[in-house]
Amino acid sequence: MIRRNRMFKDVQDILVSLLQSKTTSAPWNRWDIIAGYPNETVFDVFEKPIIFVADPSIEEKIYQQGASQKNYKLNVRIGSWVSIQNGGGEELAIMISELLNLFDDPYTCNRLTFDTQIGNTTYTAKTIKQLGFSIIGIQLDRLISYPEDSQLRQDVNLIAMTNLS
Amino acid sequence: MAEKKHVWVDTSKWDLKCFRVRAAVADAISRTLDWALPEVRKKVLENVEAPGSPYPLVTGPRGGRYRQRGPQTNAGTLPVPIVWGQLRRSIMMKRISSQIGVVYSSGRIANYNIYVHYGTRKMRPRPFVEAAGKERRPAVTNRFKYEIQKAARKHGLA
Repeated sequence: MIRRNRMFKDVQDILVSLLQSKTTSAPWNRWDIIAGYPNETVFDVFEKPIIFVADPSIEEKIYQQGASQKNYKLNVRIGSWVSIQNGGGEELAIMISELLNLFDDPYTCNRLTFDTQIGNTTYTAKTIKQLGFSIIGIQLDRLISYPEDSQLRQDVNLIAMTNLS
Repeated sequence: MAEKKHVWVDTSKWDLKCFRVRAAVADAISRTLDWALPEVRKKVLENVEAPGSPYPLVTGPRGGRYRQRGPQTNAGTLPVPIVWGQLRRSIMMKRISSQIGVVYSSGRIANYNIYVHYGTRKMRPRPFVEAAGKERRPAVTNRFKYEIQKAARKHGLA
């Protein structure tokens, strides 16, 4: 379960684990999954396109009637970054399509099982819901081009709801 | 051509009430936008320029005033330090209709705005518009609650 005092990091780690669990099969095995906004060292060796899971931010606080503690609606930016050398626009389109396909149906994605580690505890074959939050939607963001570096990027905004007790 | 005549009898006054509800909501949204757009724009401007800018105005050898450039930061923190003020000048608000309004950074004035907002390979993102929207959202919601109560009284619903 995600910890209340490490909520952002735990949600980020779980999402990274979920995406990494998909990298056993094509086309996900062509991409690198990283946590946080990519720093310069990532781009020094930019052989594979990357999918980064940025730090979550609070969208809204949820107060449920009778509940002892509040829950949060979180916004997590997941970005796909490619260069012309390692795929270009076609690869970016596949990455975005796969992300939308994965998260677009909350019923399916909240029931995918995968292994993850939260703090010192390892969880095996758990779903997102069992780990303490659920995905409720996804929004596509704009396409950004970096002409100087010949790179393209497109993000999706994932909306998640914590289920802290 | 026969003229069509339409007679409507609203005995339960349901239609009148629906019309009043629609008018009250439209009125409340319009008034909330009147208040919210300048508020959000103000917050965006705060995110673009801090009161104590790290780049001070200095007087040049010929008497001209310019901003002294310092080391560039890539920490991804707000506010965005002001250098020439181009990004600040690009912050605009527009009322599209009575119920839709936007606060945006114009790409025609500062074409690098998306790189500041979303980040690049060398610079972390500084979402000056998105952060302002998120911060002011509860205030806008509260204002809408207040305006809807006022509009309901005005249109005879409460």
